Amino acid sequence: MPAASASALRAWHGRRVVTKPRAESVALIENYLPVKGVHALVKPPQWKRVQKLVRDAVMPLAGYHTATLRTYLKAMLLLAMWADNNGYPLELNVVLSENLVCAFIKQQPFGSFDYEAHLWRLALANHTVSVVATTRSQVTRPKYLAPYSDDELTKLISFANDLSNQHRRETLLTIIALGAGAGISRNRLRGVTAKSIHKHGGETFISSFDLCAKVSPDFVPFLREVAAFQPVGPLVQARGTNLTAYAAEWTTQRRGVPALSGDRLRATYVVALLESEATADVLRWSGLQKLDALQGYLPYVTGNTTTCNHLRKEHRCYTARRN
Amino acid sequence: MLHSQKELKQLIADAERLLDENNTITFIEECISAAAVRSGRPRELSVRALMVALQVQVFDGRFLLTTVPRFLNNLDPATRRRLGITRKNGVTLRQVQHLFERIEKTNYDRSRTDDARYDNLDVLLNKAGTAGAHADANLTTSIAIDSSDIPSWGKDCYRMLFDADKKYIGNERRASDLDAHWRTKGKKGEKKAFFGYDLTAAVTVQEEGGPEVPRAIKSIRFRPATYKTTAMALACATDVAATQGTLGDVLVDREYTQSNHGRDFTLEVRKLGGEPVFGLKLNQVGVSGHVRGAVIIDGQPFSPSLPQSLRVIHRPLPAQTYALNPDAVKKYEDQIAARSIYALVLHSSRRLSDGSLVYKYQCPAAAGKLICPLVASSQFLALGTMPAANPPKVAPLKSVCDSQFRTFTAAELPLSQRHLHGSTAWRKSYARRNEVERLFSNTKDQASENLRRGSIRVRGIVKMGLLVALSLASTNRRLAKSYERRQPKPPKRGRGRPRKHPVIVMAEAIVATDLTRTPLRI
Repeated sequence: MPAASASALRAWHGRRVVTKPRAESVALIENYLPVKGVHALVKPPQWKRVQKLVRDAVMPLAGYHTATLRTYLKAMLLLAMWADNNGYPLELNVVLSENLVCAFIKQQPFGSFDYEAHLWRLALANHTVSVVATTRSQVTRPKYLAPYSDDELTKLISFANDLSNQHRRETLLTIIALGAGAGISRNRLRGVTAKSIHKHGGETFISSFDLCAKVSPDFVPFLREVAAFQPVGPLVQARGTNLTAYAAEWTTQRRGVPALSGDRLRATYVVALLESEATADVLRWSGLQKLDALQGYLPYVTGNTTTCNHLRKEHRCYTARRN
Repeated sequence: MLHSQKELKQLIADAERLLDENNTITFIEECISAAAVRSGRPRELSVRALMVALQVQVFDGRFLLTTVPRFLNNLDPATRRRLGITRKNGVTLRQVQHLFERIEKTNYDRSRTDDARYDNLDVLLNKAGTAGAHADANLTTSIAIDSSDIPSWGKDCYRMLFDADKKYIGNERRASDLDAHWRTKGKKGEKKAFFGYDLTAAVTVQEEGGPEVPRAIKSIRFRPATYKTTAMALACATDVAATQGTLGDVLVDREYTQSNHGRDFTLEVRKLGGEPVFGLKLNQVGVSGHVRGAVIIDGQPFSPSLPQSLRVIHRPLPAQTYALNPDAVKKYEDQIAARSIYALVLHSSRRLSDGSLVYKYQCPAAAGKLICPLVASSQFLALGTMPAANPPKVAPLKSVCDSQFRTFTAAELPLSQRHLHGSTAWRKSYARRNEVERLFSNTKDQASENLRRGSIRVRGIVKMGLLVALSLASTNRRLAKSYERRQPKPPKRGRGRPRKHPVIVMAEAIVATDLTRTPLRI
């Protein structure tokens, strides 16, 4: 085995390698040459540009059998050629990003392309996308700032409550309660304990490391229940990876259950606040830094038109000043 | 060509109709009478007789004056009377030549050097040359403009001069056609050198996606070769705009838009209300500058997030003898399509008081074509939308990235057009320009008007121009007839009782049998 490939393997070994690399698979990747033959896939000048990207992208799957690996090499080559033709930088994190893979898949003629699963597997192996991205429906992009409807939230809580695995049940319920009830999601979940729940003048609040959020009155009993799961220590157990993405895997591809999204849970909280509270309180409790950040939520606000109109006006002034 | 009396009558009627359509004869007579300063015998050959005789001969591709007297003298007495031929001894060649000279002198003053010397000539040729078009030609407002070379019968050469001692003292120019001009051959040999005139014509083309319209000439200019070609094309467009009251697409080749500032053609066409559709020269392809942060490529504004590799796309060039390879064309158009998502989207335009236009363009990410980190709303676009390859990190003030919309004046984007240059839509739109080439080809065809060197054996811009205009009118008439033949005709009404289908006969027989309970009889 060449020294370069050995060092590359060592580098990959620390990452997500499916199985132990096979010597013959590594050799195949190193010697892959699609410029030969009558029906060559790629012309030599373009192959010179994309070969490093193709080999680097497929290397994490070197544990696969060579017959399987050829399909991955071809899929990656087609993606790399497309990215090169469209002027994208030939870097792993760019070419295997969620947006680019989706755009590539969408542009293939219907019925002519069958490498979608391979590409997502490659992206996953290279840690350029989350698990959620690879399993999401490719039809429409979910609105990250769209709040869950009452129906969706009910189904999500019901699904979480019915889980037989205690760890999963408690984790999922906690994520939902903190996200939809107090806008605490993603990294703000870390370090939140049962003692974080406190009161200010009769109102229930919960503190995270950078904010003190008012709990929605409807969610107070639910949050009390959730807090009882872990009376001592953090409400959600820290993991090496993104906890929300980890929990989202449990809800994907479940009939009738909306996919878990930390952003949408938080949007549920922010939109509820916008419908009931004044602007300054919304900013303080939601942890948003700028008025500009509220713009994305405004389309989903149905009630409290005075506050919303005020916000829209302020945003227009802000934009005008900036320009 | 030999014609029966019936055919000849029809041709004469057609010729009179063409000449009366735009009052060509009246105009010539007015010019002659306005310039009449000498006394003498009244002219015996009428303008109508001469013009009708020429027009009928041009229908057959003959332009010779020598055959005119014989033609007129062989007409029946009634037609001769109608045409104003009263001389008992018949028309002579001298009379024909004399009247032709008079027409030339009253419409053109060779001693003048300003552009106004062509005013009368332009009116005369436009009246004569645009007649005969089909009525459906008015269904479109779009035109294609181009010029074609009309070689003169005259010659232009130099003769060596010697003094009394037979010593060479220089060259003397000996031009038998004083109005014609040389056009040198192209640098790459794509055009031959010739001595003669340029015929610039505006020809109807169908609207984009519109119905077929008859090919017809809307306006012409006849000038010495290489004389202000772009200005002549603009004059034709101006004529059409004035006649129609509006102007649609104006299709021209890259010769007319070779100036990067566009002040000589594209901007003026836009002021007239037209939309120029044109090709670009090789030196105009690629990045030509930046305006408010937008990259100007092939005349169009693009987002600065456009990757470098897509900024210059070379179009495939045809070989000397072979047509373009379709695969090469497809590859080129695919690249243009890949680049097109970065093009700023034309949102609206408005006309200023001076007639010039300003355009409002929208950022492609704001328009939903691109995912750009600087545009928050683009983050929610549907999955599969292309991400920007090279987005700027910050949006400079007053740049296209700073706001959803930016306004550009027409002068800032002189080479912009409706479709991106090189795209499939542009190619299909630009292909309509072939109509003008087809028209020139038709007129020069030996089987029809036969407008080529040797057919016309008169010299001078008016004489040649008038015969060329008559041949264009003849082409218009022929194309109008051809268009009329192509139109679907209503089905002829059948005679007698309508025929019944055998199945119906069978069904009626079965029903009748069933009702009467008798054996089936058909």
